[in-house]
Amino acid sequence: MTQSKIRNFSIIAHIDHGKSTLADQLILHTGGLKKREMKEQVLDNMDLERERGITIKAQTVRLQYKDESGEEYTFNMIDTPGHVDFTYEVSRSLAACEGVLLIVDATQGIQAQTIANVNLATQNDLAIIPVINKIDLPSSDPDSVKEQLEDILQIESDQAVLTSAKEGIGIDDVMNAVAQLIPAPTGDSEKPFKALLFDAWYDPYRGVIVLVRVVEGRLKAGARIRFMATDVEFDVEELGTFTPAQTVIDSLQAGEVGYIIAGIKEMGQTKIGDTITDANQPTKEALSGYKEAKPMVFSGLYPISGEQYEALRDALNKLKLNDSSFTYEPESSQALGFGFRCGFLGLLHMEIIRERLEREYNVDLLTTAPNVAFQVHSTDQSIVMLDNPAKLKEMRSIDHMKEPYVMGTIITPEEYIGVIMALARDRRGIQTKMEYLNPKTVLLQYELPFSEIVLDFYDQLKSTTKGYASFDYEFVDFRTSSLVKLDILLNGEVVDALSLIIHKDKAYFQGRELAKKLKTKIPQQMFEVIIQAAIGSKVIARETIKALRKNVLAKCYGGDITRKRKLLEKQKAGKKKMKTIGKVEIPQEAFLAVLRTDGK
Amino acid sequence: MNEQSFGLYIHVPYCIHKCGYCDFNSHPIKRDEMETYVSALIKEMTHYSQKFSSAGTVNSIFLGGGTPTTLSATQLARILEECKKQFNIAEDAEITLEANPATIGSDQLKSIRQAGYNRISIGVQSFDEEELKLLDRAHGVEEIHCTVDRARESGFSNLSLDLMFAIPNQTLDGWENNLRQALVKNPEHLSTYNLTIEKETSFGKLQSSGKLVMPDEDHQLELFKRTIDFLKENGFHHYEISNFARPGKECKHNITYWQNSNTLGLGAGASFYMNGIRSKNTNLPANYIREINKKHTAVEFSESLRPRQAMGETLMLGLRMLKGISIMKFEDRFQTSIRAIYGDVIASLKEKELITIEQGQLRLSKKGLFLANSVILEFI
Repeated sequence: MTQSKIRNFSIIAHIDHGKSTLADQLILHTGGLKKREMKEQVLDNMDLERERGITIKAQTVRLQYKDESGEEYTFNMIDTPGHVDFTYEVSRSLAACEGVLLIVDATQGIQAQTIANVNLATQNDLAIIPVINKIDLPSSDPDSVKEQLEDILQIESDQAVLTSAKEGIGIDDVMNAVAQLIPAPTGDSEKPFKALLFDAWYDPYRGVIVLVRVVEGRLKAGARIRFMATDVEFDVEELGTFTPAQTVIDSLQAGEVGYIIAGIKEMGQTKIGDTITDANQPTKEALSGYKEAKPMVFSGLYPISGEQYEALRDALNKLKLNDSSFTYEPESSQALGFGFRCGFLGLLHMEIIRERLEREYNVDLLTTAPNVAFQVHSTDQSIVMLDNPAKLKEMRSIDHMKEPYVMGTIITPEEYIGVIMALARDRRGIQTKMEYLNPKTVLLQYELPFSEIVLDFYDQLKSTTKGYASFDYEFVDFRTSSLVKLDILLNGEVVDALSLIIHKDKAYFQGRELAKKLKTKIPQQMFEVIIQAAIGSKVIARETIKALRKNVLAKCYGGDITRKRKLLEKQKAGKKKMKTIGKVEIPQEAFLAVLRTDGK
Repeated sequence: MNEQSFGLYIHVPYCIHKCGYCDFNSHPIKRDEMETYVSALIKEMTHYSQKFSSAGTVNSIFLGGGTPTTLSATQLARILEECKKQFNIAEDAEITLEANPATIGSDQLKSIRQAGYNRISIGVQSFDEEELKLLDRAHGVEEIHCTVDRARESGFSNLSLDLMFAIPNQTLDGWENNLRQALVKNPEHLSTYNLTIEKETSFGKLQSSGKLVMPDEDHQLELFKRTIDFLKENGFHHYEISNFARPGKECKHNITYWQNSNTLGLGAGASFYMNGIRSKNTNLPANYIREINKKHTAVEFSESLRPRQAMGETLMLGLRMLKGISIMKFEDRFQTSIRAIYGDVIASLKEKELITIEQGQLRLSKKGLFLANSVILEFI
């Protein structure tokens, strides 16, 4: 294939602006799939992705395009996830491209993630083609989106393509723009083979499948390749592309994107961002790669029944194979027994892992409230990362603690500035920027403690701005902070799994709210349950759940029996999902009570 | 209990009015449909009397509803006559008819009694005019007196009254006054039900919109306790969570349910339990009639219980009776030791003083009675 006819690109967009729908249309229009083969969002493989209407894992397809003059092009389209939790996947995909399609919803205009994505594309020196989508909707306003493109992003708007991916409008224009405006890849096919590993997953039949972008040289089946960072070698068994069906090809050369199967047994041997080269004729210099995604949110995952511990470990191990961004290590809790402390990119990532464990691996789980990782600085200058609040008590000679801060970007219609400022202040935010993007739209930037936004900031922002404000964030640094440990006691016993680390100014309020919340989440027991919140030995809140004194069905006759039994069976199933701590039975919801304690 | 016997239930799904709390299978009166309904009942009866010809004697017949007295005396007599023709009815069989005040006249009562019904259960619910209104009943206090007195005059020497407590705003004294008025009628049997609100009823909707507020649990419990004390003082035997009787007048038919013994149910929405299989008929009278005319049965749902489910049900029902269940009978029935299955549960419930085992009977303790559901849950 002629290198000059290859176009490697990604689609980037704020969530719900129509990325997957446009990808589907491009596949349909280039004949990658017949209409009857199209499922909606063909690139979203996981059930979860399709159910939630989101993309979690980037996917890649090769498409053939013939323009009006009969010129043939090969498009390598790399779909990207839209949620902020998965920003790292976006940067991974962009490293394999020369250009991007930047989708902007014509009814919503530029949003926080649009800006974040454009920044990523600019950093990677990529050509940007703006695509203004959803122009079929009555409320669409492509002209003002064009103005925003120029004013906010300094992107020339006359190149913008107008589409309705849903209705199939403007798809040819998009393909034409890709062919005309995105540069062909460069890179000498005659040089030693050098490729960027940008994705990998485990296939039970074939071993690890790696996705690569060839930078220089050429690769054929049978060649021996070396992974430069992990320093392992394999013989190439198969090369191919996804069209989107998996299609075997003879060779991959500079500028192309494709997969390699080489009998790789362990995911650990394939590091995302690694450089792959020819073992017999290696390249001199590895590619610079990019930084690894680090887990930001941590939570304890415990099997409801101890017998499922092994099953949980196996399931975590399998999930980890295809998701290097998530981490786990064994831990134990006085309250919950043996489990795992897991690290996630964000809350959505956590929910997805949790759901997959329960759904695909049939493990009944108890999840503790998520927390961020804190730095604990000792008087002897050592620094320890604390990913579980309960472990704080084991630490000696603490000098001070630091918590992670993020830079949050909010774009909002100006009438909501007031409520957003109040919200950010409440979350200990420090405003660093306020800029009118146009007379009606404002960009706000805040430095925020990550712990203040990780749980429900986004929901709060959406509800206080009727859904109009958008939000994106990136990690900045760790900062010294007055943090205390808030404990919850049930009938006088500390429940370690309910402890949290919190800013001291917020501890009293949070403690009271949490105790109140727990009162509604823990069912009545046959004895009184006293809930206390405490900082150190000082009790700051107390609630009582009265003992259950009456629980009796008035009637049970012939017609009721089956129904009542089924009702009891259901209750019994619910009871089995509760964890008994001391004598108190606690449902899963109680452990997540901290997620919604703002009382709003 | 004689293994070679069963109870027969017949459902009459018609009512002059659906009360706000009612979640039974009841439908508005349709005179022309009712005649075909009675014919369908008889067809269904014929089918099962042949199928279960060897099932033994019928110890009890219970016509429930809806309101059975929405049928004419002639129709009710015809049904009983057919039962007698088709089944082997025990000589001392208890034959109950449910009735609502204001649905039945003197003549009708007399002919029903003559037809062979020997027990009448009247849905009084309350002797307080305000409470009747609140409960959305179709009758007043005066009609209660009328109907009860007429039943006595017509020769019903076995009379049961249904009452309801925990009606919004009901005080302890108000409730005791209800009980007192009931006792004036000198009933052989009393059922006292804690008002329970089911989601899908019109009360359920009122409750979820905040327009109906139930008394708090503590007050409900006090009312329940007062019921037990008061009726015991007045010579009643508290034999099931919500049921009280003069000694010897316990409802045979309902005991059959609580012993989890065979019962055959006929009519729209009726349930039956015969030889380990539980089935239920379709609810809508019109569908029931159509099904019966087509194939003599109208079963909509049927399940054969696994041993563990059957054990759970036996305990769920048996523990409702204050004398509890006989461990020996349980073990005979399921051919296993009860401790092998429930040893841990029994030990922990005994430790919590929720159950007792005395003279081979496993029963709820006084404390356990008020927490019956929590106890039963452990056995499910």
